[in-house]
Amino acid sequence: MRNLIVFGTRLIHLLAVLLGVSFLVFLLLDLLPGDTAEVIVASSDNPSPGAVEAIRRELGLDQPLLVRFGMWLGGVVQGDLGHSYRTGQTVVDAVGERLPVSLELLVLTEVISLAVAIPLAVFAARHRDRLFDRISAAFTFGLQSVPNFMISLVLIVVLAVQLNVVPALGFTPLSEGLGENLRSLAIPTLALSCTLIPLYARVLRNEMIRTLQEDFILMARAEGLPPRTILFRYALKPSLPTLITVVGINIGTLVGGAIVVELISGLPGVGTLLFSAINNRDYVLVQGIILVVAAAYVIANFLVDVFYTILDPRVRA
Amino acid sequence: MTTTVEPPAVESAPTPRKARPAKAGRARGILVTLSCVWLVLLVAAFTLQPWLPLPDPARSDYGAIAVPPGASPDHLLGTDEIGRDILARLITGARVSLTVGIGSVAVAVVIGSLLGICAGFFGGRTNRVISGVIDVMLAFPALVALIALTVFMGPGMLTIIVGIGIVASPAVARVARSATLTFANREFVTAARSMGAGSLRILRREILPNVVVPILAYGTVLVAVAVVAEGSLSFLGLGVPPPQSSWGTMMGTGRSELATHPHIVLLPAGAMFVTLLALNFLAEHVGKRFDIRESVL
Repeated sequence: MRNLIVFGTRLIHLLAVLLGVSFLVFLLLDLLPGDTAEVIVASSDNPSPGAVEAIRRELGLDQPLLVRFGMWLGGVVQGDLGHSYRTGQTVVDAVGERLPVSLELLVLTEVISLAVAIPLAVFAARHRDRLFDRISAAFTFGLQSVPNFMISLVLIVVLAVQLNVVPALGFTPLSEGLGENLRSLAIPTLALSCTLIPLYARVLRNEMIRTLQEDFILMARAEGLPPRTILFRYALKPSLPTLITVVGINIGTLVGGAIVVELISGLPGVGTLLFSAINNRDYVLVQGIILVVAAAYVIANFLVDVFYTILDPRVRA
Repeated sequence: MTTTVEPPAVESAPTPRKARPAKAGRARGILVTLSCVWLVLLVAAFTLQPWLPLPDPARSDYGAIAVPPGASPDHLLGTDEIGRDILARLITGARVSLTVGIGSVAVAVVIGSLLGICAGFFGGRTNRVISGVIDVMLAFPALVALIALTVFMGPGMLTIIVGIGIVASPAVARVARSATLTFANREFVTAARSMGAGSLRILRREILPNVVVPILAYGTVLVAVAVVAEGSLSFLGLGVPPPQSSWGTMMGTGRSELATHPHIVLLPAGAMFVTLLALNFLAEHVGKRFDIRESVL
């Protein structure tokens, strides 16, 4: 019951943040020079005088900011985010088309990052300040200083140009075979993982070291349990909450933050859609995508909170 | 920009186990010194650039296109795909990277501290409103906001500095807020208030000196993040406009030559990597020195 109240308030908070974000987007796009009407007229063949005003009236752009925001919000509630002035496609369709690619990239990235970072952190904590820990610290520190677009470039040179094992560009949908699909995602996935692994490994290592000093670990050790059991069954679980928080924050940012990596690899994801929308000044599309990305961020953090409560009984009290 | 978000360095609990070998401490000291040397070198190079015997970074030498490093006495590090001197362009790039890195963090620290300290000190409704604003800004995809800003405003050094500064400010505000919270109800603040000091005086004399250290320490972490952000923008072609060069721009435009003339991309990549390494090292050192714990978040 208490949990439900907590989740309820979090949910209201979540909606409030989303409302804030959408208003901020609206305000930002309003303050910046230019609007959709000008863009449409500029891209037409024979702009007639007064055309801008006419289109503004038609699109309702002559209304005050708050009225337009209200109209847009009314649409959002009904699942209508407007449509792109360029393609005429609805924003929901455009995003829906691209979202699976971005989500697949996201899931693969998180799985690989955690699969590498967790054992790395656990063994580094186990051999604290010894050779393995030192090497892993140096490795993660170095990796942390490489921006992901640099990793993408290096991977393209090595894996695509020289070894020719994966394609440098493009995306093969899942329907054309799992192998080809995974190969087309290899470079962006690895590039993103390389920036997440050091982060996750450092956070978890420090947390593990703290946990390993707890009395119940000493107790488990005194009982003669094998080190592996102590590490993975006893110490890992109470160390996870902090890592999960960091993962949650990064899941949110990855949905939109993979822009550069998506662009380099030519993936038809949300990031590339957003980039072209910004460049085409497709205001309605930009608004819609930012709302979706922000929603992903907020929802991921909400789920983290829920998870946290399940994982850590102390929070429940 | 990798928008990975990291809480300020978490210090492991005080070591009851065994003292760190002195050798590791010395190695760390050497690395910190090397980091400082590298950054000083960069600053010296770009301040002295007009007097250095180097070719103009924006001028193409059509007799020397894509010369590899060391092959021509006129161009120490070679030339790029349209014959511009890479060393000269690297030095201009250093100016852009460091100016943006430090400038935008300064902007973020000013805005963030203002918001965070007010929220932490005044509490109540002020705190709720500011915390709400921080939450909204954090949920706003940072790189997206930056790209939109530079596309719509037109790329320029000032746009980039202010843009990165604004995008980074909510994180600073969170640090400032919690640092302020730990001091707002301490005895010396109550004492000052009981002696009739006004809020402004307390903020300036009692709170500010205490919170400035964690805020600045967090700021040092952000410099590297800002440099990556600038690099990403420039890589996408949204950085400082030509004839200025930036490491990100060099990598972005040289990308098409990657298979044939890798040095055009690898040299700026190397420069950026070493700089980020140095900045991260210093940030970690500062964090350890002033014992910045996760608790300030």
